[in-house]
Amino acid sequence: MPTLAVPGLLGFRRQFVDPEMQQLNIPMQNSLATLQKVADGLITQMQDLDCPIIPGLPDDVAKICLALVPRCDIPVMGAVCKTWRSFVQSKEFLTVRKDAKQLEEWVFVLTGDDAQGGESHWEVWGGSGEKLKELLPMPGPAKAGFGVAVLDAKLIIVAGYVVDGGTECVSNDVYQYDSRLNRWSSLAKMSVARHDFACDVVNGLIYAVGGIGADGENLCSVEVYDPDKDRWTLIESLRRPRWGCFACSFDGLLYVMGGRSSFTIGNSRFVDVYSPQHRSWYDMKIGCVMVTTHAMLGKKLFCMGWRNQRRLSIFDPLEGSWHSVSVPVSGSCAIGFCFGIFGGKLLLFSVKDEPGYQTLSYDPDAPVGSQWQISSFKPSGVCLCSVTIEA
Amino acid sequence: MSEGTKEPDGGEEKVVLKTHDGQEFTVDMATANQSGTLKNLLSEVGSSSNNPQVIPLPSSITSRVLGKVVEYCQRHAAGGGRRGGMQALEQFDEELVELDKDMLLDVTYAAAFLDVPRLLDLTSQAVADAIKNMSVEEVRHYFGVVSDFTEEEEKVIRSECPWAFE
Repeated sequence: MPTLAVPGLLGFRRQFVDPEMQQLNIPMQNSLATLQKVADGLITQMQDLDCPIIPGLPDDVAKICLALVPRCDIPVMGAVCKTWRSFVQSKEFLTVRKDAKQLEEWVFVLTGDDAQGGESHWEVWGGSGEKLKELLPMPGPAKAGFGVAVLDAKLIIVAGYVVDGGTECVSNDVYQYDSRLNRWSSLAKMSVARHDFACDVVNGLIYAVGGIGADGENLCSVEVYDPDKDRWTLIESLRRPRWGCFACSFDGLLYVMGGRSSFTIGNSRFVDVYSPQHRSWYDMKIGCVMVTTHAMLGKKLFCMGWRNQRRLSIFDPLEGSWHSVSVPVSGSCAIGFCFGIFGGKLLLFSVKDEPGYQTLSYDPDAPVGSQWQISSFKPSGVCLCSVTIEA
Repeated sequence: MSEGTKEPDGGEEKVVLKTHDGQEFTVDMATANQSGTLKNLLSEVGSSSNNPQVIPLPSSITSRVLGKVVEYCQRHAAGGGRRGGMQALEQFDEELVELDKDMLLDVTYAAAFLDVPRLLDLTSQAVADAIKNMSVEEVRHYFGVVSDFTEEEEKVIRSECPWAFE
């Protein structure tokens, strides 16, 4: 019945058939055989014969299968073999998960018995993160005044001073935690040991700005970490030393705010802005002072000042303007907060041991009147620091 | 010829899918067009009822595997409008991928080769669901993957994620 001698097939055949076959007046069986050969050839192309991720599947399909596994099971996949391990810790894995809309948010909270950070551990919350409720301890001695950054789905802990040794024992050690492997590892050390500096990520690089050095000196030096090279590089310094400050990034620019500067008496209201593109610093006068906690949510910066723990200060970098929102807190006036982010909402964790306090959440996009809610997440102790990591 | 075109004699366009083990599946164009690969091919070569095009398939797609794919394509060509609507269709999808491991991987492979995106979504998710809640050893055994970690490496991994091996 069937024939492949339909005129339209010629175009199709031309793409696949050997040139010598075209010379012949191909009988039907030969055409079929040729198509079979072509099809089998495609199979060979699809298969990575050396070391397939899943035997029997082309690697691009196998990668999608692995990317669909829930986040809490990723460490299991990372322990299967070297091929699986290298895939789950790759940037490609994150890209495939993102494309498949599988990225899951987890909130990491550094929890302590008291606000001094003596005994502390990282807790994880994210609905399905039960298996990783508490992280393995951070390597090295317990530290304070360190920088925290999130890079390629990893938690990065930068420098700080050793709690037992006091501020004269300043570190330049850098560690990363990868939730995909449930592993801490060491990264390259910083050029300058420092604590109480500003730290954030711009365009896939970590910036560490100012702080206090090993001899208690105030620093204006700035260094940048490139994860692909595992290297810190000193870049253009601040025009004046600055410490106790924090950083955030918008639109490819690094903003350094708060803290103190040796240029001004008291607290610095200046914002130092770094443009990686122009490799230069400039300043703005519209900063806030004495910020105790901050977080980026959407395209806005949320801060809370030391003077008033019942008011959120919100900075819109596009407008260059600040506005504020009051926090519906009743009861103890001793309350203090550390911000977290989850599901597009701001979480207000308590920095003091307040047994009656339930975590407040603020949704800037909710209708007025329902923006404030109670979150079901409550860290086991006081919150020293919190970051949110998608993977 | 586009999908659903009736020929002058009133017969519907058909195409024959032939597996390497010699079985032939005659399907209508709406079914064949669920596959991006077949749709592309047929848009060039055409097919008809009295003279259906025969498309040979690679040896890795056995008649049993193709049967599953055809079953899926036929059901989805009919859409949610028939046989109990979308709910029945979802249930059909769910049951279709209840397969043993080899069959599941083969159907996944066929869905990728024939470019049936929704079927590929279903089977990929079924593979991921199989991994869910497995221990490391179970995953290795299930997929026939051999650990190539050194003893030392394996020891470190076990100490970091003891629960992954339980």
